[in-house]
Amino acid sequence: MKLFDSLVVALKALTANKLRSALTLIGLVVGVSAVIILMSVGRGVQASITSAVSDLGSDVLYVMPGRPMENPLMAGMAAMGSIDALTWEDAQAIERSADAPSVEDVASVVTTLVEVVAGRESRLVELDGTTPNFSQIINYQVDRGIPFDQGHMQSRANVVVLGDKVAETLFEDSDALGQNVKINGIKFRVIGVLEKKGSVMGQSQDDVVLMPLTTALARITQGLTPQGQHIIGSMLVRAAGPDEVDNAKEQITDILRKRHRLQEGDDSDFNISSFEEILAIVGTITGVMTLFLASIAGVSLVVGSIGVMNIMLVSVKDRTREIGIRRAVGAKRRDIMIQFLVESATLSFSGGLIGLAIGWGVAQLITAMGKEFGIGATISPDIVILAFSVAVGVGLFSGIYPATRAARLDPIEALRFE
Amino acid sequence: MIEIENVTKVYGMGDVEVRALRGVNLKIEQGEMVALMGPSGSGKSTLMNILGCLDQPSTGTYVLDGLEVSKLTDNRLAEIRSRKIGFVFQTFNLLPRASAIANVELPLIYSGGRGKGRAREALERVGLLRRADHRPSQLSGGEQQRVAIARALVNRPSIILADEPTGNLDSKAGAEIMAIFEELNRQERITILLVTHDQDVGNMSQRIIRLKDGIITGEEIVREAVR
Repeated sequence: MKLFDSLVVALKALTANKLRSALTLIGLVVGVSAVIILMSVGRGVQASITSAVSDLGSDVLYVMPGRPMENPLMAGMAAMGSIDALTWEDAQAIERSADAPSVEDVASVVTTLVEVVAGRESRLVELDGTTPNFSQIINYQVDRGIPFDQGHMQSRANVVVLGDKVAETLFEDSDALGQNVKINGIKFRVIGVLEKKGSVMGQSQDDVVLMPLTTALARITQGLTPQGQHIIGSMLVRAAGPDEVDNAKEQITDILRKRHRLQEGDDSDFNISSFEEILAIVGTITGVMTLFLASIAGVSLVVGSIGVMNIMLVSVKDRTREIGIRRAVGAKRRDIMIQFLVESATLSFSGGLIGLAIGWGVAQLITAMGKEFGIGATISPDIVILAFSVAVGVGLFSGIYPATRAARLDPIEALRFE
Repeated sequence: MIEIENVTKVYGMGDVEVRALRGVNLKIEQGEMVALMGPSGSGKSTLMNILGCLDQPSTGTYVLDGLEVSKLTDNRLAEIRSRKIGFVFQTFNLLPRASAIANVELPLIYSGGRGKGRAREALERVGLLRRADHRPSQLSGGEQQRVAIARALVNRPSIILADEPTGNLDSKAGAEIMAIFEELNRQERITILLVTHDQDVGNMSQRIIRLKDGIITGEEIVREAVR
């Protein structure tokens, strides 16, 4: 018996019972498309986070208050409730110190949540008080107007640079440049608007207000240590080059430990991580998430394949007499086996194909609709190949048992079957 | 030519052994038309299944056209069914969803013989070519049995085994079917072996073999075979 004949026989059998075949297909289609959608969304999220983080550069170190932990992200969270503090004076010391040749630039940042008011409009946004070199280190570009400079720093000028989204919400059609906004009842002049950056995981990066660090320290946060130093939230340090990152880390550690009067053996009260480290952890987290999503989808694929096995078993039972007739007119056991295997393979193949098309379509849809929020689905060939081959594989596998049962039937018994 | 010697068939049903055949000797020449008669439980279906290579004897030998088939593998038996044997059943056993022509083509799938040509030829032979595209449910009982005969013919077998072929038909349709068998036997020298209860059907054969309790109890020549 030729394979082509088997295919024709299988197609005839499948179309003879359209509803049953369609219902079986749905199980596989759902499984395959779920795997593709969930995995590609997982990958998309991973890609967008990775690109956002890597925008910051591989030679940048992030210094935060708080005791070091295995996981820098957790350390960041711990720092929020910590009494350990980094100060602007620390940052200046590092910048000026002769003991830190691997450090090129230090930006200090103090971050707080404020309400920005312009006329009747207001918006709750993240305020970053920072040094002028901040934009060079983390890649913020002023689109219109000017960034603040050393002059603004020294005079503690009441000036702000607005994120694109803030400017848009507060001033709508009119230009924000040169207008005034109020924060904590104090007037600030808008001297610049940042370039639009988009979102990462639904979190807009344009919902931000920047102002000179000195201004923020004096008028907004006003945090001082008992020694009268200015508390800042974090430092961004640019190393002299990607190869200098580890040296810079060591030098900063030495300086800060000395300044914080830590004894040998004491834990540091700050935390330095490179963006590469953060990237690696983000990668692990999103990788685990993707795997988790994929295994959920995998379960539905398994359920779908059980559906195929179930329907094939019913089909064998239903067609016992047909099997007897075929055996009587000369079909070998192998012919019967192949017939049912081809049937389940055809089922799972078409289920896989349809699931692929739907999964791809939905992923495209998610990418199109999620652009605004920085959510995208990345379909890569390996996901497609994986989902499709698993579908066909389990389909075939679930066909083996029913097909074997069909082939083992005694032709005489089968012919007598009512 | 069919030659069986001392054939027995024992079915083990739990602890009870059923001895369906208890030593049967039989010789049927090529081109004979033979009726196998006997009451239910006489073992005639078992004998028929063995002769049709659907089953194998427990002991004894079966030589078909010079080939000892009692020891062959399942695959080889399937090949022999495909090449040498055509079956006709009491209940027709057509595939209900397939057209008449598709039913006739069925054995060709497994014998490797291709083309609608042979299937059409076989349908023509039983006078049903104009009904080629009808499904079994759209055909009368007699017509369905003729389709089944066409299916049995399509691989040009040397033997046709018919198990109560007229059992589900009225006497007119039954007579038509018997006429086709007779013609096939006379014109193409196909060996025809009929299993039947019906003495009239038996009388249309050349030889009647009577079976009872698993052994041959008698044999009568009705008329001389056409040689």
